[in-house]
Amino acid sequence: MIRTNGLTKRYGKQTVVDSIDLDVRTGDRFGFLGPNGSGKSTTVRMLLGLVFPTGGDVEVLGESMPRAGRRVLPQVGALIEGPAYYKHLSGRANLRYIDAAGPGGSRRSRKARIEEALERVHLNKVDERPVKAYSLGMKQRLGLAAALLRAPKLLVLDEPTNGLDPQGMLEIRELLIELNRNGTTVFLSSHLLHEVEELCTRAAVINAGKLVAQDDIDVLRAPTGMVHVRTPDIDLASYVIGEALTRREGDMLIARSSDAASLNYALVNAGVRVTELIVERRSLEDVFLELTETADVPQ
Amino acid sequence: MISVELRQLLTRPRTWVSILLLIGLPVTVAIFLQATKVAPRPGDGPAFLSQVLSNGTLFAAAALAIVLPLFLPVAVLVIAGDTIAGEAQAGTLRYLLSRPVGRTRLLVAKLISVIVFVTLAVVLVAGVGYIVGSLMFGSAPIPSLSGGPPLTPGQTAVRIIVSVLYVGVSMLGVASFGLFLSTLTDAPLAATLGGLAVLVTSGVLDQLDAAASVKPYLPTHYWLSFVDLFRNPVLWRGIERGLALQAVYVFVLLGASWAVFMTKDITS
Repeated sequence: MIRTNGLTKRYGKQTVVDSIDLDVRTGDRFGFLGPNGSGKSTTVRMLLGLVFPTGGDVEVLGESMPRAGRRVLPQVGALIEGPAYYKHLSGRANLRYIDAAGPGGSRRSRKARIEEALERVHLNKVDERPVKAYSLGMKQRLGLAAALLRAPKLLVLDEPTNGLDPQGMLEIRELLIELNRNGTTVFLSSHLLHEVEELCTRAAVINAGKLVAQDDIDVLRAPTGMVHVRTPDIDLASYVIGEALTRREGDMLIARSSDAASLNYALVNAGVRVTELIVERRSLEDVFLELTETADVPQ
Repeated sequence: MISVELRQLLTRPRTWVSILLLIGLPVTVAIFLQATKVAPRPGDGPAFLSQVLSNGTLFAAAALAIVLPLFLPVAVLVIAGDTIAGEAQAGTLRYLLSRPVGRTRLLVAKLISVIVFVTLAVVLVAGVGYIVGSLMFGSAPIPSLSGGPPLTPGQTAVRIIVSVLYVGVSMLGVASFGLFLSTLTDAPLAATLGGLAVLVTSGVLDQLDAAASVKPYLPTHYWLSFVDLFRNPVLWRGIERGLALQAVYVFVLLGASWAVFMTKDITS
């Protein structure tokens, strides 16, 4: 769906994006992570043909960008570093304008598509006020509605839940999962690691222009090989676990184990009441911080 | 995209407010003339005003001469400077281009909307001038500016139409400056003021004897040459040179705008 090959962007002497090989597969919910100034936004803009690469190539929906923009972009819905509008027009007028401005937006279905998009983002009850009167959350939702107008095959979203309250964030997450289930590939760039963890199936981390990780979320958040056991029968459990026990925290034992199921079986068989058994995984935050801590942010 | 852009132009209050202001100035002048019947001495003040009291239809040309030095170019530059830079400032440029709207197509749509504005402005200023002038001052035949037989109303009307076209072309040159600067910056005001700086500089140099060598190449130099249309016989030299000069500016500036916009990284 998206493939880049040695994609590079230099501004003068400064290399902002350094030979990255992105691989977003059809049907992915792909999280693109990176600290501020890492080249995330520049990469997203290169995918959409807004910024021209200095080196390497970009392929979106199987075609080379930016050359095939006219064919590719009508099938892409984008939210780039926040929404933007004509402030004096109403929300619906903005959507009508942007739909009519380019190919792929049939006039006959426009009204219906606009209402459907607004309904999906829970903005269908909005009146004809100009957008300058909208709250931040409403503006964000309108931006998402604009991206959904032509049922795109690919969504490229930058901070889609920015400005939304927890309920709103949940709604958008559910919306994206539903769209993905119906065949839309989602490419998401976010600072909210928890959101990416909840929503995405694959992720890539970019730091100082370089791609430092790209894998399935489950692989990135690989188990550490430790298991947490909470039990009221601490001493008996310690005995059962034996040498594998690394430490104890209150009523929680942390043991080294590659097979949580067998450990659980062993504990229960020995008469230990197991309140909680957790396979320790690296959180995405841990992975992210580890991968991004050492580099200097380009000025 | 072109029709979307035109609809935007024609429904925005700003468009009609500027045109109203443009028309307002000559009408104000007409009212003063009508009230006092004090004609400026020939050669003094804006062109044609001295004869307007005897033939009001000439007020169409006088109105153009009144708005030409500052008002009309400023109005054109506001619209032209806003074309690309305005979208960049609002942040909508990135959404238009990724819609997608081809860069050339966007530029052409914006250019067409500026041309429509220039046409509307010039036609309405001249048209309202003609009507107001005829109503206020009547329409006796005008002696031509350089002796010779007086002009018939038909001839006057034709020359007014040609004046409108000529001023339209001059303003197209101004618009091209505005459009070009608009592709260079993210601030519409910078584009407008930059264009204004060019015109003011041109106007100042045009008054300077020391700059005599560059005068024929200054964009504002031939702006008022449409006055020669009302001589009998018509003096075509200034008009021809004016048209050719504007054509060069338009061609070069639009080409430059295209070259810049096609290769620019859009970071707005």
